[in-house]
Amino acid sequence: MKIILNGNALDLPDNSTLLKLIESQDLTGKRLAVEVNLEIIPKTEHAHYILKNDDKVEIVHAIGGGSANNSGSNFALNSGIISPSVNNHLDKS
Amino acid sequence: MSDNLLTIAGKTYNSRLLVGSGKYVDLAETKACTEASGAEIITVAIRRTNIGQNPGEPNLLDVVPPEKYTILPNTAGCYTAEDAIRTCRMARELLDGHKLVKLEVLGDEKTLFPDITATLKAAEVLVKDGFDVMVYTSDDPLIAKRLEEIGCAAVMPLAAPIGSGLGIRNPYNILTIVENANVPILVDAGVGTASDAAIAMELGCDGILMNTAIAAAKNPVLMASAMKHAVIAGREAFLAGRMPRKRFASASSPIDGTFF
Repeated sequence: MKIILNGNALDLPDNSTLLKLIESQDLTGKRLAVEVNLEIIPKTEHAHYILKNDDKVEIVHAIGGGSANNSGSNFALNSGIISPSVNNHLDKS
Repeated sequence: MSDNLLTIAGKTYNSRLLVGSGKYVDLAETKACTEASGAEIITVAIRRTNIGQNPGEPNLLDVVPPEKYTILPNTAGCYTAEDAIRTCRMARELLDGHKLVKLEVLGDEKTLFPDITATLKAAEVLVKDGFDVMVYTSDDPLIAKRLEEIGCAAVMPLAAPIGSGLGIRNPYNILTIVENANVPILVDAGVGTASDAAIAMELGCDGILMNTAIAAAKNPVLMASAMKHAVIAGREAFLAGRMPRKRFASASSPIDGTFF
């Protein structure tokens, strides 16, 4: 099956759990939070939560940030804001 | 001195300087500056993990551990109330039920001024949801009061645009906000150097949150230390109460007993 992880398509074996996904990304034991289809899945449920085809998964962590720096910090160049609503908002105004 | 403790959402702090953890060259600099600043509350941003990249790389929370510091997740980069609320909920999950958040909903990229209507809306939802909300806002005294009435734990007016380093542009508004308030007022954004921090504290602000003034200094660690001292000096000067301003001179040595 195919899921979208942090905006990118990813192939996963059918019936993979969230925990399996986290393990496959070398993120085991890291301090993170997970959303599936805009709903937060608590850490305690990761081992039981079974992903479905086309699920949209967001895995986030804490990085350097202070007063609104859009670019994030130098050591997180590839991080993205969770949802790219910045441009949408500007288009409307 | 008990009146030198800062209380936010029921927790007390010795330091009135809050620092951001962004814009540093690397995590070693983040750590060194955070330590030099003496800050106990550190803001962090919530972003996507770097999938497939450097899995072993150190994490920000390794150098700014939640066991030692109060982590203040912020909603930096959010331009809608919905994104800000979503970010706070992710932060709560990330930090095991942590309730203290910094809310900022930005209006546009050029000024990074807050979108006040969206900020009010997000603040209402987050307060109802049980968050302790420290809220970034404009220096409008009426809005600051409204955010207090909504139930925000602290109100944080800008002194100048984020990252501008222009200093306290409207001290009278900051003063009015401080005088009206029943919650801590912290200047968030605009401080450029130590004297700016001292001025904000002399106006009676309960604290200051800054990032760029330290991170963009030529020597960030030294500036972090300067800011620590400026905040302490400004606070002490506020508590001491300044002398009245006088137009003409007033000699400080006695006139009696001169031998010439």
